[in-house]
Amino acid sequence: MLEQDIKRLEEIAKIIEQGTSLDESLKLYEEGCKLAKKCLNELEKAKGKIVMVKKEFNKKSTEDKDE
Amino acid sequence: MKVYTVSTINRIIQNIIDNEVMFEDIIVTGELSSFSVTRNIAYFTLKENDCLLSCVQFKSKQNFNVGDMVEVRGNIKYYSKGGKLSLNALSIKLCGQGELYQQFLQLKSKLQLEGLFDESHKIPIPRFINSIGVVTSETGAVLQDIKNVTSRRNPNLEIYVYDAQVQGRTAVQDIIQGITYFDNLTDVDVIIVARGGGSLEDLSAFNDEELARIAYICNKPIISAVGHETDFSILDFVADLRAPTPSAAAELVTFDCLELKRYIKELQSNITTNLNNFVTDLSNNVNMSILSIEKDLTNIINDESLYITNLINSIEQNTQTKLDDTKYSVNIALNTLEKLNPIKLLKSGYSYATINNEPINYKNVSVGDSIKIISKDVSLTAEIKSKEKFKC
Repeated sequence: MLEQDIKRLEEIAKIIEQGTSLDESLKLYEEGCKLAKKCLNELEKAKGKIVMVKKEFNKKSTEDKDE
Repeated sequence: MKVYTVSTINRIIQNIIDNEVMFEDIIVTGELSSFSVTRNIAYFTLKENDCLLSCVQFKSKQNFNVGDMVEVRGNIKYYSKGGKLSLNALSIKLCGQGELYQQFLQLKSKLQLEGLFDESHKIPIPRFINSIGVVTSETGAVLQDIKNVTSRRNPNLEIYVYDAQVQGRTAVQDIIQGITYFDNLTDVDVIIVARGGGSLEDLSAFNDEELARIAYICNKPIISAVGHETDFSILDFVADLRAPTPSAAAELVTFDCLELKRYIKELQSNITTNLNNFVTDLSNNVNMSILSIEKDLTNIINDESLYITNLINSIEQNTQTKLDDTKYSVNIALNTLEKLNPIKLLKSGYSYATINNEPINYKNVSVGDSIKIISKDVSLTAEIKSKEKFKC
């Protein structure tokens, strides 16, 4: 779930900001990067879906007009 | 030379004029160049060539038009207050018109004041009707004219005829009965009162006051078609519609079948246009909504992306800071260690002595023990010859 991932990302940012061991920081950093990449991918996919749906809609409208 | 005040000279003028017998009970003729009535007082001006005379009539009941030639009977008065001279009219008469015309005008203005001609009281003529009631002489050409027109335009229109004298002694009562008869006849939609042209005397029945009042209270629309286009009767003014001629009246009440067809087509086309516009509007609305949703959605995604990017940037920065901090701490420790490096001490001339690999102290060493000494460039084994307490 995108929302959960973002929540976790926020958590990680908070822990690192407030300070923890380097080891822990690095571990969290890695996790954060993975999560962020996943989230951005999902958002890109959503954008792509809008374009696709719009294309489908435009196609349908012109078909209706042609009729 | 004599000196007067305004009030004195005005009073003197007034005395002269008021006492002048020549100005009493005179008749002046002229053309009305202005005429207005305010609170029952008529103010008007008589004109002849480029001469004007101001006139006034109190308790005025008549109405005249600018341009009317009139005979005004009255007295010349001077009003010292306004310094104005005017003809105080007792009566006003139109010139060159007979008694009958005077009566016609008087009745017309009387009924007009009573509101019998008011537009608001007039009943509209329905566009599509089934039958008409014609009050006219059965033997006249008028009826035939009406029938000719209606049969051509709408053969289905039913025509009822009330035979009435339209001239002579019984004419008024005949016409009144005809109107009343059709008013009560359910089948009749519109009443036409018709007569051909004639002199004012010939048309006098249609200028009757009682007839006018009957026409006024009639519940059905009345079309007056009396005389030619140029003739006007009192009934013309009371009727709901005045037709210039009887044939014109017939045209006004009959709808042309062809025209009806055109009308229906027009309605149909209006409906189509309106419906099309409605659908177009709706689809425009839908398109606008879709666009707006799309925009909102894109904005949400962009905002989220920015937020995530910011989050990860902050995570990265904080991790980097952590790393730098740690590196710094390690360097500090390294520095401290460096300072404490024993090799460095040996290099500067110190030696390091141990017994059984332990640092030497007062307790673990005795005279005769072997100890190990390490120096800058030599390792030695030595024997203890003496031992004394030392405090550093």
